[in-house]
Amino acid sequence: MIDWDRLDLIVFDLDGTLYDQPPVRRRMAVMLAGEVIRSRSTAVPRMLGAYRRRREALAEAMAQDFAREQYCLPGCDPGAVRAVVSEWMEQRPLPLLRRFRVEGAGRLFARLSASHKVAVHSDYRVEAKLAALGLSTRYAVAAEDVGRLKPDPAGLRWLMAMAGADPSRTLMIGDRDDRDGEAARRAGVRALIRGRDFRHYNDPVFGHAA
Amino acid sequence: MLPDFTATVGALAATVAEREQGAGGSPQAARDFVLASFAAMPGYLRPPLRAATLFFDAWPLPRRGRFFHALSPAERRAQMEAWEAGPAHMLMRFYVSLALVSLWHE
Ligand SMILES: [Mg+2]
Repeated sequence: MIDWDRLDLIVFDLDGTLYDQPPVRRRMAVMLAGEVIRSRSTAVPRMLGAYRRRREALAEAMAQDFAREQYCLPGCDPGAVRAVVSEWMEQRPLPLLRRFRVEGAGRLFARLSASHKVAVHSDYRVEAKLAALGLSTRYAVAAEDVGRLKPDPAGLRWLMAMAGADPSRTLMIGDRDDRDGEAARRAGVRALIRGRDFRHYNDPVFGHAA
Repeated sequence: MLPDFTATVGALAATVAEREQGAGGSPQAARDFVLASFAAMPGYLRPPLRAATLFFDAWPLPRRGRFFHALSPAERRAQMEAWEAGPAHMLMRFYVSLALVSLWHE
């Protein structure tokens, strides 16, 4: 049971938390397959796969300089990796996001914004995706802003400092216990994990929010 | 025995998963992802892709007496790589790229 009146700051993760990732990924996969057929090369999906594995490894290793390191893949020019990631992981999914927004997210954001400080904390860039989802928040922080990937609690601590919120009056809402849940534990913050604690934002757990 | 779309997609996805060393992910997850992606495709694209997939499942029948999906992993890989280098390269690239995306970590 969450006592919403005892909370000041609500921090949402983005991917998988505010929209359903599997249907977006399936559609992106079909778009990528079209690209592979056109370009007669599997270089793009291979590069994106290697990039994702590198990000996971950097998160585990608590890398210091991940903003630069993440684009350093064997045999690839970092500038080319950056461009492919930007196109396929940041730009192209945008038009799909609104359709797969998690049920009740819009209403919950509107309600919470009136009574709480609402923030988004993602390992990827936040602004464009949030706008594509038709949502807005007072605070947003991406991993590159704080130089750390989740489960490092740096982003969460940064948001609490910005909002002037105490860990005991902060709630993290995410979809991965090993990333969002762990970051919250390290920052002394309570967490709700989508898929474990709730499925959508019309769930009873949000019934008394705001 | 008949050509089997699901088994053929599973065999192709597993072959890609086995070939991509270090990519992580399981052949079953790759198969499920490729089938789900196929189901999410525009309706007009699905029948020709399904027909082409069934055609290629039956391809090894005259020479090997077995469907593609019933070949051993080594035979499947050799057959898939022959297709990738030949006239079926478009269909193979389609399946390879779907299977590659399935191997991404969450
Ligand atoms: Mg997430």
